[in-house]
Parts: sequence; structure tokens; C-alpha cells
Amino acid sequence: MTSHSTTHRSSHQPTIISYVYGFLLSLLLTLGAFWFSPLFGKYAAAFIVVSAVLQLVVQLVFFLHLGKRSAPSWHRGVFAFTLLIVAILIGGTLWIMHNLARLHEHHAPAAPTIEELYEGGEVTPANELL
Amino acid sequence: MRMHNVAMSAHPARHEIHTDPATLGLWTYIMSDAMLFASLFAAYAVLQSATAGGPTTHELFDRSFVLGETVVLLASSFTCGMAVIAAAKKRIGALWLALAATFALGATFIGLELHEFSELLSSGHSWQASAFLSSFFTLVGTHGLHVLAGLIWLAVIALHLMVSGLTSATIQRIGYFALFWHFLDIIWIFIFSFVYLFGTL
Repeated sequence: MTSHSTTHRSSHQPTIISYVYGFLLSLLLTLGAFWFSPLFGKYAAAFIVVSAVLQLVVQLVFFLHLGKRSAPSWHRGVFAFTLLIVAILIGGTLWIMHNLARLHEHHAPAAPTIEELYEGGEVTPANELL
Repeated sequence: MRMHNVAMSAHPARHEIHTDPATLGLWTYIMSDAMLFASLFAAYAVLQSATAGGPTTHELFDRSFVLGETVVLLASSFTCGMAVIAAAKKRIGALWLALAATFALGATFIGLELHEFSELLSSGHSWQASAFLSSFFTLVGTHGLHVLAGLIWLAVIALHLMVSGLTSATIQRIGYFALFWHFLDIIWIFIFSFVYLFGTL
């Protein structure tokens, strides 16, 4: 097993070029999400999510070498499990809180205005450029 | 497991494939850290509209500034990869260059983030002003603290390198650090996308 995986690994060694690919693809996805997302109108959020997930995959493959045949298989298992838990945690939170907010809307008396609660300073819009 | 380690030490020049107990521990740490960030992301997602009548993400965030931060951190992730390769090939000069670049870029990122935070604080938009700002500072600040810890780790590695040279233990430590550093960049992609880009759509 040892000698087999040794020969296998040496052909999948990370190289400078794999990091260069990873860097350029990540840069492309970052700039793409930044510049082009406003053009997508109501699909802008979806475009950003897709770019982020693609960049996650790019970095996992080119920087963390996940999914290479040389990487121990438990890396993928541990990672898949983490994704599952993260999905349950974030998805579950949003689901429950969304339902709570809807219930609140239907059953609670009109809330007093909170416009005067904020004690921070005045606003100077930061993104005037856009 | 043991057979693997024997095989690996026979080829020290090769990039370390992570199979030893320390790597298992590091992965366990990183994956549980991912859970920490997941709960902070969930809290932010729920609270981001709870501005208590104060300014929203649209008024507070500066897209272009954060793009700069993102590119700096991405570049540091790349130079960190270069350090791993230089260490595996025992090129000391290139290794020092890559480590120094990684440190400088990471420190620049922290500097930019502190600048952003101080701008917010000086105009009164502190973590006490609204639930949105509390969750924002907690999420982004926790990531920033991780980067700061990474810089300290990097300094310790540099110290090891100066004192005992490029031993196989140091090569391994650089590999561990790289795993942590790349992870922080991945977390940042999601902060950039879900906090800053979503917040300025």
C-alpha cells in the first residue's frame, strides 16, 4: 500500500502552477461578483452565491488540495460532514427565525416605533461611488 | 498510519500529505472553527435588518474598500502556498520571501480592517448601537482575531526557522499554518459575499 500510494502521490504534488491557477480563478470570481452582480438585477444575490461557492471549490481544490486522489479520503468525509452541519445550523436558524417573525407579525399588537432608539451618529453614505 | 509516516520521512522533499495525528487534530480544530463561524453567520443573517432605526448595511459599507481587503487576503493565501512549496524544495531564500510577503499582506489586511472599524466607531456606529452592528462586529471581528493569531503563529515559525533552520518539523509546521491560513481566506470569501456584497446590492 505504501509504495503504491507513494508513486501515486508524487504525480499529484502541489506545484506553483496549481497555486497560480487557484489564485487567478479566485481573483476572477471575486472581481466578477464585485463588478457584475449589480447587472443581474433581481438575480444579483444568486450570482454572488454562485461565485462564492465556485470560489470555495476553487480554493479547496487548488489551495487545500481536497479532492486530489492523493489526499487521504477522510479529508473529504470530514469536510462533507462539516458542510452538512453548517447547512443545518444556518438553514435551521433562518427557517425558525423566519417563522417566528411571521408569527409575530400576525399575532402581536403593532409595535411602538423604534426610530428614536438609535443612539449612533449621523450617516454619511460610504458607497456614494456606486 | 505508521507505515505512512515511515514512507513520508523517506521522501522529505515531497509535499507533506496530512495523515499524522497532529493533522487530524488540526482538521478537527478547523472544522469546529467552521461551526463557530457558521453560528456567527446565522446570527448575522437574522439580525442584519435589526438596525434599531439606525443606518443599514447600504449606508455603512464601502464596497471598493472591502474589495481591496479581499484581494490583499487572497494574495497572502497565494504567497502562503508559495511558502509551502519553497519549504518542500528546501529553498531557504524563496521561503523567507514568501513568509515575509504572507506576513506583510496579512498585517495589511488587519490594518485595513482596523481602519474600517475605527471609521465606524468614530462616527458612533459601535457594536452597542444596534443588534445589526453587534452581530457585524462579532462576525468580522472574530475573523480578524483569527488573522491576528495567524500572524503570531507565522512569527513563531520564523523564529523556529532562524533558531533551528529548515528541519522536517518546521516544514510540517509551515504546512499546518498554510491549512489554517487558507481556511481563513475561505471564511473571508463568505464574509465578503454575504456581508459586504449582499449588504450593498
